[in-house]
Amino acid sequence: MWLDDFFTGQTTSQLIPGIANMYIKTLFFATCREITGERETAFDLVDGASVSDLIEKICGEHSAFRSMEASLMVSVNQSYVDRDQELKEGDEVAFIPPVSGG
Amino acid sequence: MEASLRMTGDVYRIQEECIASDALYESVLRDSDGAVTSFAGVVRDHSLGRDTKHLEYDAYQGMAEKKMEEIGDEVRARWDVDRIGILHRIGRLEIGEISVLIAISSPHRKASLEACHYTIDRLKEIVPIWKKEVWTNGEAWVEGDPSSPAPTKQEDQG
Repeated sequence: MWLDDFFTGQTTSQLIPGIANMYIKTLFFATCREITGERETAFDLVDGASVSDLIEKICGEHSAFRSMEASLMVSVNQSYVDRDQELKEGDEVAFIPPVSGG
Repeated sequence: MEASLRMTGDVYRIQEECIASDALYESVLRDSDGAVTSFAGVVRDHSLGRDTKHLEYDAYQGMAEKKMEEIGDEVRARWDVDRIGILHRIGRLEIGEISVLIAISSPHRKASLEACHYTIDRLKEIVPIWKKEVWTNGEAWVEGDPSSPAPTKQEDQG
């Protein structure tokens, strides 16, 4: 598929031959953003991966994320979800620290 | 909720522009209303013993406006209110500026009084907005509302 070819350049080591991969748009806010250093990025995950799998992937890149992730809410496509929520191509995931609006 | 069922005239908005204290009054008030209750959250000059220079607010804008709208649905399920308006600012706010404005109209006062209190409490629980306090010698994101316990997942989805 051409999309795989397109992405192969930057993520060859993470692609698993024969298993479909998906790119998940991921947003970080407040303290999360300070830890990851970015507000918006994308992670490639194997088909069928869950929010928990995404969290593991982020912890692999940003070790400080592990100590805070338990306190976070997670949304998929702007609705709060549990960590066993399965992800699909095109989803937008956000990590939401305890809110402090008002 | 389908667009056809959505009450027209409600306002749910995240904005960078300043909020005037009467910004929602005209838009929520109709001839059938006997009351308008409004609440303004304002930037104060101190927090937990420290002098605040200013605040910076950030939001997950699309989801924040969606959650405000959900709070409007919750309000309508509980009280006989007419129109609901919620504005919340993002960006840099100076001392004395309005960070959040809520205005709710109703035929009788009790509904809008109670609904307004509920709305600001709910906003502080589930709407993805964060404030950063900036002091003379540092800054930090505030996490959660120190004056109330963290919401459970069930409450959020209910």
